[in-house]
Amino acid sequence: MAEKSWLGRSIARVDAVDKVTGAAEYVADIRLPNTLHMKVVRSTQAHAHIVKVDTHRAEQVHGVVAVVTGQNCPYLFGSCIFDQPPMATHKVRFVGEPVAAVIGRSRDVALEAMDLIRVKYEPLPAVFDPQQAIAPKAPLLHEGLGQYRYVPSFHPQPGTNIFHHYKLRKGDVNKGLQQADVVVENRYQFPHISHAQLEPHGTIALWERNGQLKIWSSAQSPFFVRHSLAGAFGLPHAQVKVVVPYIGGGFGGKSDVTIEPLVAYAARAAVGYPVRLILTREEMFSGTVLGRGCWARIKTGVQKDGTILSEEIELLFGGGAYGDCCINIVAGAGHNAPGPYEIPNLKVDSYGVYTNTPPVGAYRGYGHPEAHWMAERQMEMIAQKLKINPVTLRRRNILRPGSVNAFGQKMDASHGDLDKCIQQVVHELQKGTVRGSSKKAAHKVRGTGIAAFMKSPVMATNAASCATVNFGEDGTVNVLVGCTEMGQGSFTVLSQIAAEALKVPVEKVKINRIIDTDVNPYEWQTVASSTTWKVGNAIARAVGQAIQQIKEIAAEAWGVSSEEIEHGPDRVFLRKNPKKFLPLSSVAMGRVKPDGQAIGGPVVGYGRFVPQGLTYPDPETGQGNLAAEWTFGCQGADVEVDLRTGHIQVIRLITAIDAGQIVNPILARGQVVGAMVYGLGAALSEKVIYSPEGWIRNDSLTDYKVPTPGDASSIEFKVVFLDTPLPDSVYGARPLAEHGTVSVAPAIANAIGHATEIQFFALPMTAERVVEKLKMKEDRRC
Amino acid sequence: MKHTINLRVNGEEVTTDVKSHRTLLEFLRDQLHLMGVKEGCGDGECGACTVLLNGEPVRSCLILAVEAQNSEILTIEGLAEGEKLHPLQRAFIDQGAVQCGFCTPGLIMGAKALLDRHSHPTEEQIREAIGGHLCRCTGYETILQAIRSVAKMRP
Amino acid sequence: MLRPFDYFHPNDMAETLTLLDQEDETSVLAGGTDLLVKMRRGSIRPPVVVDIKGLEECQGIRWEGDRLSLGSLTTFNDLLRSQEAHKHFPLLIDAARVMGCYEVRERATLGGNVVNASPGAESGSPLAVLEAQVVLKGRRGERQMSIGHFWQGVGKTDLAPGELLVRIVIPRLPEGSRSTYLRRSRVQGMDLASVNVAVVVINPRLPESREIRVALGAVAPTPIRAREVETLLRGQEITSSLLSQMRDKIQEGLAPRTTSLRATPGYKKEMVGVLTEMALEVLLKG
Repeated sequence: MAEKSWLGRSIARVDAVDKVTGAAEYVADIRLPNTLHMKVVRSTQAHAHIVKVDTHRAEQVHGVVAVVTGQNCPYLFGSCIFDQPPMATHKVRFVGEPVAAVIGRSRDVALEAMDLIRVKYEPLPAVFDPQQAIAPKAPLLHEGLGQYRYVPSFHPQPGTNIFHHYKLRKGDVNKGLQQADVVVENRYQFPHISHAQLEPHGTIALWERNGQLKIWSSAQSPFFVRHSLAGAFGLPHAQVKVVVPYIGGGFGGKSDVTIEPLVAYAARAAVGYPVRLILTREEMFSGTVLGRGCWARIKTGVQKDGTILSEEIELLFGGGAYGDCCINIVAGAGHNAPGPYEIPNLKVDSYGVYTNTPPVGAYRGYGHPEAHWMAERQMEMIAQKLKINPVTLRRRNILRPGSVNAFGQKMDASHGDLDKCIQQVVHELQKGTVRGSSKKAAHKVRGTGIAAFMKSPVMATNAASCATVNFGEDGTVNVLVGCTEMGQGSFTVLSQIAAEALKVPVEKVKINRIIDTDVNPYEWQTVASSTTWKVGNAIARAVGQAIQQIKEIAAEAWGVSSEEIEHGPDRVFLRKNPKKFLPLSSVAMGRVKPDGQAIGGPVVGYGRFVPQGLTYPDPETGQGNLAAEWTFGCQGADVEVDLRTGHIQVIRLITAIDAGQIVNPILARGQVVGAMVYGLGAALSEKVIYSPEGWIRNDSLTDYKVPTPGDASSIEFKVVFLDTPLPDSVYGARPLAEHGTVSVAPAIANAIGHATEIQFFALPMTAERVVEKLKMKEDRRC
Repeated sequence: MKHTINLRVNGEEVTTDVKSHRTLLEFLRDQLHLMGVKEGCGDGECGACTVLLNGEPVRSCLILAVEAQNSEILTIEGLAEGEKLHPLQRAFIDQGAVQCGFCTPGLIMGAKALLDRHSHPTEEQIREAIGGHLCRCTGYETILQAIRSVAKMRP
Repeated sequence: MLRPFDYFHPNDMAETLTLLDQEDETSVLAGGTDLLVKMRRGSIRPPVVVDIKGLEECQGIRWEGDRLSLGSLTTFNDLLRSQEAHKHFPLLIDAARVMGCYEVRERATLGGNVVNASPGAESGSPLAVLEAQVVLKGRRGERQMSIGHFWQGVGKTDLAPGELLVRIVIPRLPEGSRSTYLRRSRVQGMDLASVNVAVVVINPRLPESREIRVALGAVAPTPIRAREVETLLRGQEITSSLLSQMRDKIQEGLAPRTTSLRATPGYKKEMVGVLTEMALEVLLKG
């Protein structure tokens, strides 16, 4: 009896009813008895010694339970380098750094008390630009950089502001540059941006009187939070429980640890009470992590026919006051900086530099958008210089089966078909159905551009995903995983994968909705677009184990060997006589013989997937088996620019992505279109604007402009999925969720260049910068 | 300062005390436990807090609870009838217009008010109705499709 | 989260004016879309808030002879629903359409927008170009003044302590007049204006007696009239050479602040000319 596959089916999201009825619980919706409320006093200085924190008036406010400062706080947190105290200890390193916390019986009380805290600072010279922070006499943010613990694959440089230097060396870059017919050198910039998730960060921390620490948090990585807090506070892991409900948008900004150490640290002053902090929108800018912040220089040597011989790249990340994930993005961007091209001679130096701004953390795309902004603009500048078609130039150099990438991995067909993706995008752009106005206005010009991309998951070499599977008496299935749901549809897609592996209707599968580190199996982090692949694999293995146990029970019941038994749709059956079968429901809890004796018992399957063979990069050459898999693709933009107002109207945005097996088409398209619009923000309107003193001036949605319905509704989106299966993925599904953000900005920039001959090297590309550049061109002509 | 207010919320009479400075959003969430009304920004910019006040969509973060005296409030919790979802809720599910879900309640309320105003809204009216709602996940495409599909279904 | 305050909802004007006069620091609450934002941030912390939404004198849109009188409590959605506004002052409709978003327009009032006195306010350049008057009421009586004099600087008006803006009065334009409002913004959805212009053309078809009024927003501490441009264009045939002169002239004397989050001074200066030209293209067609 053949069953229809659950793959490639757009079933409704399993969490949709909860979300459309307002029943879905996020951390701010959790109500615990006796909750106390926390407000945070934050630094008004970018770099200063803390002379005094005067809390005594705050402590007098009726209803205040405790006022906590970071004085003498011995704990340091981080994701790869452990350099960040939960609250500032003796000095502050960015405007917004927590200096004191008030815990009160109500939010009103906490707010009133917060207003009464006075902090005296002794300002220190501050540095905001990594180009200055890396200079020899720059003010030092971390005098103690040499004493911090860090993961061995990173290289902080004590006595400087450099918290990581990633080096990549391949071939002989100088020789290659000398041999080149033409050398093109440019500088590029990608400013700091904010994730601007709709749901603010929130954490509730409860130190129980029995010594347990319980955390509820909007956190992508509950197990990382547990590990971090247990390690820092010196608690056994089993004494730390982290619970994560639905997350209202993550995009990397809620990965690793963010505000959990702050809340947990402060909550120690109120043992026995849950202490709750939900960030305000202002705090969402300065009180968590930002993204990007990359200054780049790239020098490419090419032959006349467009073959790239050599490339020298320098990346400087303004990583903010603490290393956070930027340290890892430095490496990720570093090894992706050349773009999806085969370049025989490469020299990449990627630096993570401390600056007196909020820490930079994981941000959708994780170094790839930064790298591709530079790489794909550079390709366009090269094409212009050589007078070669930009598509031809790319296709001459792209990674193909047999190519060796920047860090020594040999590509093969199973990595995906980038060439075909490029061709698809070109084909779509050429179709050129014009939406909207077909009137030709002299002041409006039209252009198209493409930008290729590749992305691999940049993660720990041993990033593990685990899953367990158990059954109810009626054969319905409980699947436990450790990954979180932040909108990407993980629970739905994984239900489909579980159903496929189990050969049961998806309605019989239930994935737990709340992650509890006491109960759910381990998941390294829900990041890197890797959940469908890694957790899918873990579930398939768990199912395999469960089915094996079921076979053994059936075998005993039938008096045969388990090898004679097959797994079929919602059943196991005897291979030589398929009419002899047992529904899974009648085996999964064990069976009972006619005389009452028990056979077997409740079945529990466990599965684990860890990508194999990943290594640290060589500290000198940056080479190694760094990428567990690749997803290739290409993006295209069709834009119209109004030469009078500078207005950039994106008419069409196209993504062709080799995503392997699509499990849920509507969800998959939703991820890619959502990613394209997310990337549109960085391309056209998003930028954190600092004052000269290091304050974020636009820390509100009034002035930090994210794409609106008005921006997106005038764009036609096209998504093309290619289907090269990922061999290491149980059904061939490849990561696809972040990828739509990666090359949107350069695709649009290339289209603008085509339409107007204006070239952008920094983001965002705004109407006023178009007008400014048009004027400069005019002025140059006079 | 405390005030006693009387209002109807999701069809039920409510009489209770509120402090002057309590916003309608805080009142609905903290006092009436209607957690479907979300706080995304507190500035009226994102739309996550949208509820219907006397049939019109408003930003509950920018209204004091006392201002809702004698009014009729509808939140997302008041839309479905038991397990029977409102056509908009159904459409959001079917069209894939829900991802993280945080913008969803406010958006659905804004869309409901639109369909109450115009039984067959034009594309421009749909865009006007949701123009002030932010979503970071979907890219808006499926949201527009969902609202259009409900409008189309109407006789 | 707001800090505590006392809230009053007076029933009539006398009670309101008494409250405004007595209390030291009161804030007037109309739509709340500016006030609550400022209070949440803590940039203002009034101990008393007076909700004026019960005041009939501040409501309604009606003709008073040759002038359209709009209550200060007129919301932006009220404006969009007003046939009189559509017919006589289409630029107000253009401005209302892009102000905030539907939910904000349902609450935000014209009076609040005027008293907030942001140079780039959506109602700013339109009311300036329409030569509107404001009617103010205090315990000492009522007074009227031109809106151009009422606005005195960024966030500053001539409103005296204890005074309330009750009505905004707009003189009828001659038959056949046309008007529009154009702006630039950073995104195509809900956004403040980076820079805006409001243009009225009286007697569009008769160049000799044609009068063009132009007001600019977000290029000076208040919305301003571009008087020299108006003089340049008066009674002239609009050629591309004249428009080019206009685009230069309109920038003269403009020194927008360098600290704007929304646009650079250079862009603003360039755009007021471009937007005025675009407005004229529309208004002088046919």
